[in-house]
Amino acid sequence: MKSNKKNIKRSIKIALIVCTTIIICLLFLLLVLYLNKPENQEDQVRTQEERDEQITNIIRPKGEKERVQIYVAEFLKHIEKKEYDEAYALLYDQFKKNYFPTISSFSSYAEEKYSDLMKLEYDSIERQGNYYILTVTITNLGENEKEETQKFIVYENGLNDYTLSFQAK
Amino acid sequence: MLTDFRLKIRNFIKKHKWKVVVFIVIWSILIAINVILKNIPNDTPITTYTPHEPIIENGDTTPKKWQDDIENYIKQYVDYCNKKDYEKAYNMISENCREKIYPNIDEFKAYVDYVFSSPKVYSIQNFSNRDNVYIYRVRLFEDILATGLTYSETLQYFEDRFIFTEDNGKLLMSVKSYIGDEKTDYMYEDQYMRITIKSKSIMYDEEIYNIEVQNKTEYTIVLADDETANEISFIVQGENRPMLVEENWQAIYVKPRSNNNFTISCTQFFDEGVNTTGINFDSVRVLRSYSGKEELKEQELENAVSLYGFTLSLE
Repeated sequence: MKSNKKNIKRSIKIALIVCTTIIICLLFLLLVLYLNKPENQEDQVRTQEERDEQITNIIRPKGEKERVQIYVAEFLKHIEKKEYDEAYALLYDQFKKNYFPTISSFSSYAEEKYSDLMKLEYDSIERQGNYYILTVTITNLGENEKEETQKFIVYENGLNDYTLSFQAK
Repeated sequence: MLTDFRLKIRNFIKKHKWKVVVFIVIWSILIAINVILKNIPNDTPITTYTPHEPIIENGDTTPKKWQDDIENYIKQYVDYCNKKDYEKAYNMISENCREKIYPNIDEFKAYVDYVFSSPKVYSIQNFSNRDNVYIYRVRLFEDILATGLTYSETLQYFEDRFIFTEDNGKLLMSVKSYIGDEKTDYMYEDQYMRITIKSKSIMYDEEIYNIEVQNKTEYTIVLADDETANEISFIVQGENRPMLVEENWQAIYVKPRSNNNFTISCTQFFDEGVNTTGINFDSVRVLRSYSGKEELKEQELENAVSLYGFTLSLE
């Protein structure tokens, strides 16, 4: 009877030691993963992926209206910087086929339509299911300052994972 | 003093060795869970879109077990309609609804060809739920991502109400606000006629009664011909709701010694959860002659055999 009790105690003791060891290992692993996060590697060259991750972190706590505004602003920022490849990649495939079948057709449109410095004012946002319609007043700053209102359609698959289109006029 | 304190601690640990170990283990587990949860990034975007929560305040949310099924049903149905796969789309609609709304596939084809003249995308929103009936608003519109709303300033859409009903552990889908049919046998009889309510069709926003009128006389009986207001009305919670008169509505009258079937309807929202308790026929005319002509109406009324009203109870 006494030896039986002793055996149970020993088993519990072993189980507790195993549990504690696993937990310590897990904590250690998490610590290692945390220390290896890209934002801590300040000396590393910033890639597009890192930029995306930074945007994801910025928008994570934000509401849908602000997120959609950030998405459209990002798209127009690419145009301002003449990063037409990046902007083109954000467009919905069927929209591209309909209005801008080649990247050169898109870049010519963007060159003509937008200046390299824009002021954005968000007028309204409407949601239909997973589709957002954002109305933006864009002011092309520069020598010939011009103001125009344009609608952007945004479909969000996940955080910072979206596709869009706009009134191609 | 210090030795005494150390001894006390040593004795305490010796005495409660196992309790201390268990406490440390539990505490470590809690810290580990906390750290793990904090490190899992929540990449589901925060959104106010809640397609399965009813628009109607204080309504019940659609049960979780049906939410995916409902989304899949609608997706599949719209896909079939976009592909003009009429038969598959038609077969997704419940049998009762097909009989009532699209009695043959040609009528359904005409609907699909009209609404899906170009591929459509959709949005859904739960409207209200009651008695295991889930009502969804479905808006069908152009693929706005593909067009960018380039040729239209505002979003144009077709709106429909899809109804999902639980039936023996399965979901049945109806369209065009159709909820179901009920057989009834309410009856009213007097010396001139006999009225039987044969059935009731329940739509989301309307109740349609199929009535049979038997004229027992040698005269024409007129129940409603839009001569006066509220010739027929429905009693709902003590209030009288007028009969709905649609554009192609025809007068309700029965020739001598004959039987006729009619449909009469009133506005009744399914999610109100109230019953119609009676139908008022307030302008019954038993006429020696009835032409339906405006200029003869006065004379025909002067020669009437009887002018009266009654209430047909639905309780």
